[in-house]
Amino acid sequence: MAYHRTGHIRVASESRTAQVVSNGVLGMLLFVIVEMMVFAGFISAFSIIRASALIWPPLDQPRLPLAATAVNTAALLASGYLLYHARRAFQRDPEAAQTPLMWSMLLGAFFVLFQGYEWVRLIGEGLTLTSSSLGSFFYMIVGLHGIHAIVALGLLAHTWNRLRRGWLVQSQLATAEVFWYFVVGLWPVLYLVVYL
Amino acid sequence: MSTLQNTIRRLASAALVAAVLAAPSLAFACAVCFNRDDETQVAFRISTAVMTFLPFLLVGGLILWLRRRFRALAEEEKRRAAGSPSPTTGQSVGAQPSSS
Repeated sequence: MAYHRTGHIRVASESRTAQVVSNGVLGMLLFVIVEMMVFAGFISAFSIIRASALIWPPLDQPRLPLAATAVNTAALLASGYLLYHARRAFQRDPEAAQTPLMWSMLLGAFFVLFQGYEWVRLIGEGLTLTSSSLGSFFYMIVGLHGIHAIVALGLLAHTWNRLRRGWLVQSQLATAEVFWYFVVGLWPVLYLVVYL
Repeated sequence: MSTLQNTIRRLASAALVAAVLAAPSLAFACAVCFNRDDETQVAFRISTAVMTFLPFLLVGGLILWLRRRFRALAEEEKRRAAGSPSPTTGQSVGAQPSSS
């Protein structure tokens, strides 16, 4: 791996060896496929339980926050768009990618923190992991997505740190992008299935 | 095997298929899953279809994408051999990156 300067930061450049897809991106794509099947299994089970319930959602359980989560969904989608913008900027001038990448991370962090706040509120209102099948599936599915979001945020933070130091190469950014797009793209599906 | 035996076998097979198609509820193996209303069965069928086809869709999509990447790379190799500029960067494809 070689380094060259653009502006005041160093930029790492990858080997010129022709590669169809980087190992990191391919590995992440395979991981994402596996995770998609995990979520498909949970969504499938949830759909069947929901369809076979006489009354849904259960009467004694609090309603899920539709409007607040819609705003949170918008924040996550904006985060995905900013990451795309960061990649475009990185191709032109790596230094220019720092700001959109940072905002992408911040919006992602806002999403996770807001989800945490909603969880605390819902637990306070009586929706727990054992209170009903809605609670079990809600915390299982949304929680699993939340764990993915936290790990992906860690990866984005690592990517941003490398970019700041001038150590980031395109394939590393692409690897982080694949994971974050998975987290962003999956959420609207979960929102439609679980919340609506 | 005589023609009559063949005909009987075919008719028996056709009757079996027709019976299964005419009475699909008899083919349901799980008494717990299919003891409810239509909505549950619809959810089961959709879930079964999704869980069956999703892996093919995902892996197939990945294979198609890799195939496109292989072809794009082959095109670029051809251009590199000819010494023409890359359509994506506008630079000569064989150019070495600057390093310090």
